[in-house]
Amino acid sequence: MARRPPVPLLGAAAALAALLLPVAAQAVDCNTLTNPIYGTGGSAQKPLLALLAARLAALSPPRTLVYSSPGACFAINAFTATPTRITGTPSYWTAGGVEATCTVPVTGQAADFGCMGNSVTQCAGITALPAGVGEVEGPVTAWNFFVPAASSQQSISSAAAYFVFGFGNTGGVAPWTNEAFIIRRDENSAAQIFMGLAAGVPPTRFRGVDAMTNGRSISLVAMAGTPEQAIGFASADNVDANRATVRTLAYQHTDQSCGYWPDSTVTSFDKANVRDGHYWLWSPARLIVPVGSDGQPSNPLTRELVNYWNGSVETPEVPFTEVQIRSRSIPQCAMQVWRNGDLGALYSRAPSAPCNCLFSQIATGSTTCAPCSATTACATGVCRHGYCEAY
Amino acid sequence: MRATILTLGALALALSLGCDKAEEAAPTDSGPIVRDVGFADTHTVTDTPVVTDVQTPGDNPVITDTPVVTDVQTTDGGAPDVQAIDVPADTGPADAGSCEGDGGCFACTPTSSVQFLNRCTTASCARFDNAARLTRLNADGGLPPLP
Repeated sequence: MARRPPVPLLGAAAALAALLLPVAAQAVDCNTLTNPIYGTGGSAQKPLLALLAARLAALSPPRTLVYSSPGACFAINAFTATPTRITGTPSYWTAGGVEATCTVPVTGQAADFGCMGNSVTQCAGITALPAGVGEVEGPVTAWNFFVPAASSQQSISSAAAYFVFGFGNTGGVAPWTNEAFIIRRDENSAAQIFMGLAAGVPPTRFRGVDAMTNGRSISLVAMAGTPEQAIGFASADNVDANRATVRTLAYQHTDQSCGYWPDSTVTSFDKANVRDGHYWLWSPARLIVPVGSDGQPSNPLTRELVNYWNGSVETPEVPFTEVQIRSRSIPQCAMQVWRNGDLGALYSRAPSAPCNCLFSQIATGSTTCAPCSATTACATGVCRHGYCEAY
Repeated sequence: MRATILTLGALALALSLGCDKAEEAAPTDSGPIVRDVGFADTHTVTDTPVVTDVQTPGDNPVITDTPVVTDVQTTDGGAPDVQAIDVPADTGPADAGSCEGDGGCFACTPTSSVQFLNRCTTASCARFDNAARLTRLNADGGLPPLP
């Protein structure tokens, strides 16, 4: 056997180092995931879907929720006569809640469901739900104007938002007079649609920098070079997860005498003002799903998702009420008001099976409700989710 | 409760929300009612909310929420103050005097959006002084058109 010439020491070290370096993970093909269910829509609901996805991934057999979040209106665009397909690298989550990405075919992937925070008719070119498509209202999302934590600003009004986002540099509402620090989205964003409705600015007329996602809106505001001039908007669940760097502004709507936070105080998480009607900016998130002639989703995985979403099914493995609260959404059973349509008129609505106690316990860490169980009955009221609700 | 979905066109089935699904029941008894702080003392058990998504073109509400400046408060220098107050200090658009609470908040059971927005509350609020801070209002207090 011929002897090999000795390898130079430096080359050997480099070769050894290369062996020790972690190998970059190859992108996973989404279609190789177990029971994939593909969704598309807004980034506002991503925190909620992430928690739900983890629960679904822990089922036996697992379901893998794969979600792309290019914007709310993509949720309905996926089900029109010329549907928009999912492209790029959507996200999916493991049973441990770890987010990863996978790849779809270059020709795109058809969606099984859409998720959006606004009604479909707020989207360009959509005048009604297409035939064969259903809409399911779910948990409530609050929408927040916010500033960097270092900003001195505490509140904003609907008229102020009109000038800030409709006029930009020439709006004259100090300190928000520099478009470089006015962070917005585009007309496909539920956040922009709702802020536009509240302020009277069409979603196509917003001034400022397009952040493209709720998460990036928060990053751009938090990192603004001039904190006092920076302002943006996003869903409350995204903002609440970043209170160390950004702060929600109290919002004062038309004909409202004072500005209110979604919560009873700027530091609370109780969403009291959303739940009782003091805070104007909220909407129910919607699932958009194809349905068969029976009005039900044909895809069994989609049907299962809908049943979790609307509360028809709730199991210890997928406690969707708890999932909603932990994602900082508001389940309908914790609301005391409701509305029809986007930012429609408010009216009182008491849920037939309230979950105020559970909401308080999870959202704020405490509740005044008495605990209960199969063996510990309520002295009064009804035992729901382990607490004695008023009824 | 099984959900059904109402769609447009040829399909006409209603999707009912399931947030009212039956929970474990416990025998009720006399005694103090335990509630979370801050919630209304009265409630009404309603029927299951049903999404009757009977949408036809034009049915969807068009929100034309054009902001109207009504704030008449003035502050020193126009700087916003964080007010940790029990009720809004401004005189809200309340109904007759019997429904006017401290500071003009709405003290009765609300039946309109304005009444919900201005209902008396212990929540904190921070007033935005439109008159002082909006430098481009029209002379009549209205909003100019977008550029």
